[in-house]
Amino acid sequence: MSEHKLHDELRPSDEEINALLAEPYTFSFQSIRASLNKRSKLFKYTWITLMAITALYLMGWFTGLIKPFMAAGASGLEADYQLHQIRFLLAFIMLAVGAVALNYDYYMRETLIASAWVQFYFLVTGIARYARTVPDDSYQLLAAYAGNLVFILFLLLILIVEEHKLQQRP
Amino acid sequence: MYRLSVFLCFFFASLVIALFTLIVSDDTFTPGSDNAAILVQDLTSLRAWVVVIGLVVFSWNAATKKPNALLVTVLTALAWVMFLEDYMVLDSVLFIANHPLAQAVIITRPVFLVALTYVAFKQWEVDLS
Repeated sequence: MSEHKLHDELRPSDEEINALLAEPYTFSFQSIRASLNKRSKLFKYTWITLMAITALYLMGWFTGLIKPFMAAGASGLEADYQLHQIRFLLAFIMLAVGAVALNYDYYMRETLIASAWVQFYFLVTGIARYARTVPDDSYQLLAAYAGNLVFILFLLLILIVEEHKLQQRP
Repeated sequence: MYRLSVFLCFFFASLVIALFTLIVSDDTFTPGSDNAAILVQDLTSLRAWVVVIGLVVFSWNAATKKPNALLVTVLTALAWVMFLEDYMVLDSVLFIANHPLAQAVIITRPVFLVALTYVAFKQWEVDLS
């Protein structure tokens, strides 16, 4: 009798069997949504803002609206233009890595921290470079450039803090 | 393997610091291209500081038995970003290729990147043990 009871206790529940038989956890927007729903509203809206900025950047880039505000616009150097391109590509890769980490809910905080430091590197080197090339009377351009980068860094910091809070939760 | 990789990272960092110390102290160094003339001053000193700060913080954490994995991961990301910037955009202008020390930095850089990436992965296990 007791053996039968033990057997019943060891038998997996229907929910567990269904979970085991379900399709493996693959990359999909559904799972990103599920992962976002687990997190705070602030995290969710900050993440969406980051995505919106990326989309706006692409729109601005392809329409040529942001070209006058770039370092290459002030210096006229091809290297500055290329540096801007490669940095956006790297930022896009970081965003993709972040999306994968969010999808699998795997090392999210660490991914965000690494991205924030890379963004900080872009901020410091970008401002140093811009400050040297921009004409003396165009400091509002430098302020706009710095403001953009600081805003993205600020968004990343919000994400890190929110993720940290989530991990601290019992 | 881990210790060898850490040694390679320290060795490369020492070479970079020595090279940039020479560049700063010796006016006879000339950049390898026109772009370098402007860009070399903007990025090299900042990068040298990244190397110095990374080395100091890593050594301090290792000496005080604090976790180092996240720091090494961040440094690895930065190292790859700098490498891609140099390789794909700046065309290695940040190094003065004629000097033996600069040659040493260029030759050991791929080895350093592989070693640092290995350390970044291994450090998570080391921190847990």
